[in-house]
Formats: sequence, structure tokens, C-alpha cells
Amino acid sequence: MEDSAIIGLFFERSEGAIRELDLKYGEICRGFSNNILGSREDAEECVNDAYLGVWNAIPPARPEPLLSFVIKIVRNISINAYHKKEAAKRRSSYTVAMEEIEACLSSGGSVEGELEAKELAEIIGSFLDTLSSENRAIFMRRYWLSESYPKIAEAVGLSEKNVSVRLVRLRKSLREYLKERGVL
Amino acid sequence: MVTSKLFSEAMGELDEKYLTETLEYKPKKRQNFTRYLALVAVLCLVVAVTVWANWGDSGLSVDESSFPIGTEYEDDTVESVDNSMAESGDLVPMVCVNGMLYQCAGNQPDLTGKEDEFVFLGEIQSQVDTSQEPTNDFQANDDIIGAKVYQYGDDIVVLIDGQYWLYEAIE
Repeated sequence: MEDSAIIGLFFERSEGAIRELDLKYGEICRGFSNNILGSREDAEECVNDAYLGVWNAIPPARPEPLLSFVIKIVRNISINAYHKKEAAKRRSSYTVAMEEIEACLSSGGSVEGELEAKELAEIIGSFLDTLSSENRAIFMRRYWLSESYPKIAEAVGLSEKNVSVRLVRLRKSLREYLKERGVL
Repeated sequence: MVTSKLFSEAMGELDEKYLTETLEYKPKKRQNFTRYLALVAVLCLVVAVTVWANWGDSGLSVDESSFPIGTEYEDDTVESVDNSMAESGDLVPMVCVNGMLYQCAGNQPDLTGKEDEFVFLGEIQSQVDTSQEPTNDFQANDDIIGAKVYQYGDDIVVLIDGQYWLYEAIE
């Protein structure tokens, strides 16, 4: 079913809206949430909570594309659950990806002032603008979608080894980019 | 200090366009020229074998026991070419310098302060597809044309976007 038709069902407050949403994007959402939580049960719970969030948001929202909107809600709920349930102990894909990035961005000295998430988001966004679409997809898949190397390789049509090398380069480039802007 | 928590929050605040692009991204089709060459080689062999097989009919004699026809040669040729092809269709980043092939090291050492040990060799001049091994001097299978190349012991170092990257010699 087209996104616009699914959104139409939400506007009609039809129960079929959630069913159709789940049919089209449920697997992606559950897989993504599992990347963060490392538990299919917890992922299922978070995605169901996310559907309630979507139900409450549409209407009046008429998001396009629908998947980006839904997956952002899934992410927020999943990460909150991650911290509450101490899911870091499960060594999920998200845990490993965040350890990777922290190791890269940790600096010896301290930068004065506290950086807000929104400010950092703008800087990361401008960093992403310097990348090719392929590298951008690799970076986002690893550090937004928390996908594993094999999944990223399959999604972008490269070998796992190539993805691994690209990510090493991207982390280094990000580090230098943040240093030049006084963030590190 | 940028902690993983702050980084994660920031990623969540990114403009939606980056997520949308990622979700809609389709990998570019990669020309695997090695496969096409293999097909051409097999076709040429089939034609050659067919011509040999028909020599007897045209009055020329051929000892067929010395030149067995069928699928044996065909299979051998395909296998030997297949063995050289990466299963995924793309290869790790490589450069060819002074006739030697080097591949980007998976574990990158800290090369800060080692510049005195580098010997400048030249710049990357040309590029081939990621599914191919570079074969010409100062050629890469990566988008790094113009990158400076230095000798560093038995390996080389390539300066890409202001950073040094170790490439190890392939035995």
C-alpha cells in the first residue's frame, strides 16, 4: 500500500492504519530497534509503542516520507529503553557502534563550554555534506541505524572489508573536522 | 567533550533529509569487467575448439586425442578466471605504485610525527572501478586522484584529505 493511502487510514482513524503500517515497515522497524536493544522482545515492545506515537501524531502530521518519520519515533523510544534496561550489557550493534565513535572522538584536553546536541547535529550535518552519497550512506547506516558491517555491505553493494576501511577513514575525517571547528 | 551519548543525541537531531537519502540509497551498479573478459575468453575458446573440430571435415587432419574437445578446457579457463574475482564484486582499496600492489591496511597506525620517514614517490594519476585491481603505476581503485604517495619502509603511505593512510604491500 502506498504511504499516502496508509496516511489516509490514519486520518480516517481506521484500525487498518496500524496493520498496513506494520505490514509495510514493521520488519524494518523491529530490525532497527533490535540493533539498539539486542533483544527481539524488547524491540517488539518498542515498535508497538512507536505505533501509538504515530497514531497520536497523524493527524495532524502528514509526513513524507512515512518511513523516516516512523523510524525516528522508533529510535527515540528504543534509545530511551536502552538506557532504562541497561541494554549496553547485551553488546548490541548500537553499543559497539557508540563505543567505536567514542573511542574516535575522545580527546585528551577539554573544550570550554558545553556543546548542545542541536549544535553538534548541525556540525555533523555539514560534515556529511562533504561526503559522497555512498560514504554518507555508510556513515548513517552505522551511526544512525546502528547496522552491522555485513548489513551495511549488503545495503551499499560493497564488501565487508571495504566498509570497514571506509568507516575507519570516515571516523578519522570526522575527528579532524570536529577539531578544526573547535569541538574537540 | 563529545561523549557517545551526546553524539547519539546529535545524530537524532540531524536533518531528516540525511535519513531519507540513506533509506532510499541504491548501490551503483558496478561494472565487473573481469567477468566480461572471462565470458569473451570462453566464447573465443568455444569458437576455436569448434574450428579445430571441423578441420577433419575440410580435409585437414587433426589428431583428436591430442586436442580433446568438450567442456574440459572451457571449465579450466572459467575456474582460473573465477578464482581471481572477488565474490562481492568489489575489492579493498588498493593502489599500484612502481609495479607493486598495496592495499589499505585494516588497522591504521598513528602516523603522526613519522613524516621524516616518508619518501615522496608521486601522486595518484588514474582510477579504476572498485571491482578491479589497479594495474598502472600511480593508479587506485578508489576516488583519490591527486593524493600524494610516500614510501614508508616496505609499505606506502597515501595522503588523503589531509590524513596519512597506510597501504601494505601485497605479497
